[in-house]
Amino acid sequence: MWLVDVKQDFDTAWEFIAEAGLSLPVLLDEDGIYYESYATEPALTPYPLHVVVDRAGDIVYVNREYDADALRDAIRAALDAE
Amino acid sequence: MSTLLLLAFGCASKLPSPPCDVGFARDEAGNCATIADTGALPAGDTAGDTAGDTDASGPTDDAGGPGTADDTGTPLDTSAADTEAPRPEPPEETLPDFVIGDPIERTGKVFINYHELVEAVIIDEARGYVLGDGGWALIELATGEVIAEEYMKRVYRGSVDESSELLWMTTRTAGVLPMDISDPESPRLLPEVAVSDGYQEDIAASDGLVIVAAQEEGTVLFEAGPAGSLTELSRVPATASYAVGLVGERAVVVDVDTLTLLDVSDPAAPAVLDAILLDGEGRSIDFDGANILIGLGGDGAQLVRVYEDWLIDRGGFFTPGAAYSVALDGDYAWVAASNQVVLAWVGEGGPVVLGHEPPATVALGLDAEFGRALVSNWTTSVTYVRADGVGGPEIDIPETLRFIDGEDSVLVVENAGLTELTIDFAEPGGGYGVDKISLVLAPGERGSVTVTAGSGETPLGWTSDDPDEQAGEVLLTDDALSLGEAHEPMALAGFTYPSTALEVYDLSEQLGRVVFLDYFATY
Repeated sequence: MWLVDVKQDFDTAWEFIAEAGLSLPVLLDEDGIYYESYATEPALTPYPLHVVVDRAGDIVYVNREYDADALRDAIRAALDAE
Repeated sequence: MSTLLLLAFGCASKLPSPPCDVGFARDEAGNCATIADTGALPAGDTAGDTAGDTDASGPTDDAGGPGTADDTGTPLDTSAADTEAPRPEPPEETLPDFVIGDPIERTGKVFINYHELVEAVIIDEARGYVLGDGGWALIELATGEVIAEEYMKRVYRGSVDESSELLWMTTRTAGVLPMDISDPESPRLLPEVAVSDGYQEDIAASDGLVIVAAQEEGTVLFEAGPAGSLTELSRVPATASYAVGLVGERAVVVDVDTLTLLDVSDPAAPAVLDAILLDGEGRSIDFDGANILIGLGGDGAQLVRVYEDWLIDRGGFFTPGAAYSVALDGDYAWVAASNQVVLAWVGEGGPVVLGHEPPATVALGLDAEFGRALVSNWTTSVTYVRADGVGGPEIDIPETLRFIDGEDSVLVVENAGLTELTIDFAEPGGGYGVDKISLVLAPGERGSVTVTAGSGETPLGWTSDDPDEQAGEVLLTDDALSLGEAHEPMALAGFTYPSTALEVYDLSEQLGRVVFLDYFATY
C-alpha cells in the first residue's frame, strides 16, 4: 500500500506524516499529474482516489469515493487471481 | 482546558438553566463556574494564557461566583442576569400543507476550468460567486452562466460583509483573504491577513465584525478596518471551532458537537447565552437570526431555533453523505451533502425534506437566497430554483445491487419526502427474482425487497409516484468489481514517485504484486 499526497509540497506532507504517525510509504505527486491521469471525463471529484493495480500491472479498480466493501472485494480478487 | 470547555458547554445544554454571566458556563452541578474556560479573552490574550489562569489565583471570588476582572485587569461584562429562570417553552408548531410536486428545478450547469470548487456565496438577487482552489467565477443565478472568472489562490469558506462590500475568505492556512467586490465582475483581491497559526475553517462577517473559526485556536473575533485590515478583539477557546454564523449582535459557533449562542454586542467580551449538544459533529452552519441550520459530519443536518436567546432543538433530517455546506433561505433550507443537493422546509413544523437532486459531481459548497441556490461541485457550478409550498414523496434507491457467491441481496428503499410513497417493481430477468412487487412507505420510512440471486447483469425496473423520479432501474449484478467506477483494464504507466523519505518508488518494480494506491491531500 502506497499513499500518494497530491498537489502538496514536501514540508506539508512531512508534517502530516509526523502528526499521524504514518509508517507507510508516502509518495509525492506535487503537480497532480498522475492523479489527474485517472480522469475519464473533466469531472474529477475530491479525495480520496483509490487505485488497485493487479500483479500484471493493470488497473483493476478506481474509485473516487471511499467504499470499504468494494475496495476490500477488489483487493481480495486481485490477490486471489493467478 | 479544551476538555473543560466541552464539559462546561455540554452540561449547560442539559439543564433548564439561565445563561451564566460572561465568561461562565454551568458545571455538572448546574452552577456557573470557571471563567477562563468559557468566557471571552481580551485582545492579545491567548487560550494558553487562560488555561494557566484557572488556578487558585484565577478570577473567581471566594464564594465561587463570577469574578469581575481577569488577570490583565480588563473588566469583564457581568451585566447578564445571573438569576434562575426556567428554559422557556416555545409555541407549538404545525406543519402546513404542501402541494404535491417537484420543488426543485435546475436552471444551469457549467464546467468551470478551475478544479476544486468548494464554496458558493450569493451576493445579490442575480449573481453569486463559486470559489475554490483554482479561482473564482461569478455566476448568473437565473441561467447558471459564467459572467466573469479569474485564477486565485486557494479558498475554503467565504462571507460577505455588505456594509463594506468585502468578501472575506478563509484559506485553511494562516491567513484570510479579503476581496473588494464593489465591482463584482472585477473584484480586487486585497493582501492576505494573518489571523492564526492553525487551520481556519469558517468565517462570518457583518457590519465590520469578522469572526473566524480557527479549530483548536478557538473562535476569534476581529474588527475589520479600512482596506481589509483586521484587529483581534477577543478569542473564545474551543476544542475545535469548525463553523460560525453572525447576525447583528448574535453569533453562533460549532465547537465539535456543541453549538453555542454568543452575545457579541461587545465583541471584545462576547458572552455565552446558551449551548446545546448536537446530534453529531457540526461541519457547517447558517444562521439568519431566528434559525440555525447545522450540517453534520456524519450524514444529516440539524435545525435549532433561537427563542428568547435560548437554543431550541428542532431535530434533523438525513442526508446521504456529510452535509458539507448548508444555507437558509427564509422558511427553506438547502444542503450540499456530497451525494445529494437537498431542499428542506424549516418553517413552522419543520424540518422536513421537500426534495433532492443528484449533484453534478459532488456537492461541496452551497448558498441560497431569493428562492435560488448556487452549488459548487468541485469542477462544476450548478444553479437551482425552488417552488414555494411544493413537496411530496422522495425516493432514495440505490443504482446497483450486488450479489456475491450466489447469495440473495436486500434492496433497501427510503422515502425521504413528506407524503406517502408507492414503488412498484418489475420482474427482473437473468434468473433474479423479488419477494414483493410493491412497497408503500410513509414519510421517513425505509422498506426492503429481498432479491434472489441470478447470474450476469440485468436491470430491475421500478416506477414510483415521486414526481421527479417516476421510473428508474437498479442494476443487478454478480460482478463484485462492478462497484465503484467501472473501468476498462488499462496498464498503469511505470511511474516513479519520490517519497517523503527521499526514496524513489518505481511501480514497474512491483510487477507480480498487488498494489493499492491511496491518493490523498491533507486539507
